[in-house]
Amino acid sequence: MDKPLARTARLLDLIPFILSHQGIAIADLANEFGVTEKEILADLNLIFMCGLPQYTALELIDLSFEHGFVTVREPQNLDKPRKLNGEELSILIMGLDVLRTQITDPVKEQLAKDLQIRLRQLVESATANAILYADDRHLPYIETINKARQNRTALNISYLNTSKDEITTRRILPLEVFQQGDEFLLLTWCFLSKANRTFAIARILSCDPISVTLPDSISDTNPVLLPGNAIVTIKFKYDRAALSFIENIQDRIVAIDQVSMIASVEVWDSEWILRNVLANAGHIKILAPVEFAHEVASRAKIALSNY
Amino acid sequence: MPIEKAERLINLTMALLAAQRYIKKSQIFAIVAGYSGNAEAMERMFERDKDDLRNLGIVIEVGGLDPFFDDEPGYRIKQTEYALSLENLTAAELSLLAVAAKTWQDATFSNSAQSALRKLRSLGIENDATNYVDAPFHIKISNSNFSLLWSATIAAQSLVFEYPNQSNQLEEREIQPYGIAAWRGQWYLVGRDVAKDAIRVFKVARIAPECKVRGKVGAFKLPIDFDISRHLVMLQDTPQTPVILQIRKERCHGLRQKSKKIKHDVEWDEIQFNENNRSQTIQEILWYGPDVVVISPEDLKIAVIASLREMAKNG
Repeated sequence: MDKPLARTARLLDLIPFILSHQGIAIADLANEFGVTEKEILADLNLIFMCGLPQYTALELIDLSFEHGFVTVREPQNLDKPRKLNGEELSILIMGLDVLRTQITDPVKEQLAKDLQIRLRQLVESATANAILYADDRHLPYIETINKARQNRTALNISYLNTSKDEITTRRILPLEVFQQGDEFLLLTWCFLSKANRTFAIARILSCDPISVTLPDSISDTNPVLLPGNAIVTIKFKYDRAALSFIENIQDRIVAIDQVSMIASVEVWDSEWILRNVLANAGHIKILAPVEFAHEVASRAKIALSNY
Repeated sequence: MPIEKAERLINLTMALLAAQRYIKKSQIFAIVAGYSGNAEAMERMFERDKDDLRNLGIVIEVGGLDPFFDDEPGYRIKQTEYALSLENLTAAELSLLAVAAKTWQDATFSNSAQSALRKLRSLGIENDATNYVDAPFHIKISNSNFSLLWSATIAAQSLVFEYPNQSNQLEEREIQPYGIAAWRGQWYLVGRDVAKDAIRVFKVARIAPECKVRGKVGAFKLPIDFDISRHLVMLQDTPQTPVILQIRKERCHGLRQKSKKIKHDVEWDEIQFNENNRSQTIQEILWYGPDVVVISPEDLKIAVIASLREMAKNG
């Protein structure tokens, strides 16, 4: 969208927004619309010049913004917000789909369902209705985590480290919950490492709020996700059945040839790569370092001896 | 002094919104502030302005002034077509919509999400608590094609992209996008493959970068009975199969979490769970290598042993 058009959209949206937030500070208005105070002031000055044909004082939009606070006295016929466009409607409908995967209260679930029906009636393009978000995984402890996030309180969690196949406990301050790829992740402040750490929510096995404010010096019983090992580059060949694995580790791949299907990844946890190669059932073959290839074969042989 | 384009567009919107009847172009040029120059210049200006307002989603109606004569067309904007209409929206519903919008804090849709939320907050609903509640989680999408796939789907515009074929060679595909779906965080595009004249499902992560749109907006219509969920195999009900495994004591914590223990001895525990995704179950079992043994079902055991044999010979 070009600049004058984006500005037109903003001007059309400014008037009903101010009307429903009469007396709003210019700084807050600028923040709400993601522009500078100078730009908002220019917008308000421009709106002041707009109106209905004849353009006498009676037909112009009238607003006041002299003391840093904005009030609309006469919006003329721009008193209502513009209708939601296709993209806005579709992301709201899908956003409600997202919420419905986690809502446990049947009243809220019904409310979300009814809202989706109402929004779908506003959609003009049939394709905008052909969107769907589905996930059958209910996040354990999501309510506890979000409550702690809102209240800025800490949590004690026990966490399953799948690479090491061990359970550890940690003290964290939850900062953000997000879905990236197929995982739900929790960004935290870790009291032990005094740094941000990310945990997969599905691997949180228990989660308890800590009622007292924790001093910074408190320590955990176990170390948290500390990359103690040296980084190793693993070169491997994969086939089509391992494409999902490749897609999930995009950020670790340092080189890839999609024609010969050979990739290199940097790893700092040897268990992580060994277990992933095993889990991919022969669709990934380590080319280098050769010791890693031997280790996979050795584990497969031991596993076979169990049968 | 010529007035700014934005000012002219606002004035035009207001004049067309105020029109009780269709108003002619010549009237618009005479009464709306901002149109100046010779007839041809004003004509061009007006055509561009109409396109611009339509790009903002504003519906400009075109109609005849007199049904009995082949007259010059007139223009107007209906309030009902212009304004957001969600009558009797309650504060609780507004809060829920705000939370729905806040799931998109990722750059891909954050502007549209904020704009939607702002329009909703302009409805003047009391007890507006939309600022204070956050979504239970945010969705982050790093795929560079995603925004284009989404907008082309909504606009019913064809897409052209490269996608790996069965032998993993990139092949150009022209697709009429019918819908987008997410399942467990993976995104899928469902659409009609023009060359194959058949509906196909594409994993968004596998679409090569630099996907492009082709042709006009609104170029195709969805089949009347199209239901996206029918095209996604993972959404179909599949029967559950009981699985029994032996797992080493104090190991395989991930498998323990989803199972019940049915037996135990000094070295091993026997656990049971139900599964309906065989390839995922095989992956989970192989992940734990020598710490797990499949007891049943037999076909799962055979598949796991075959995979282990394949890996054992690669040492």
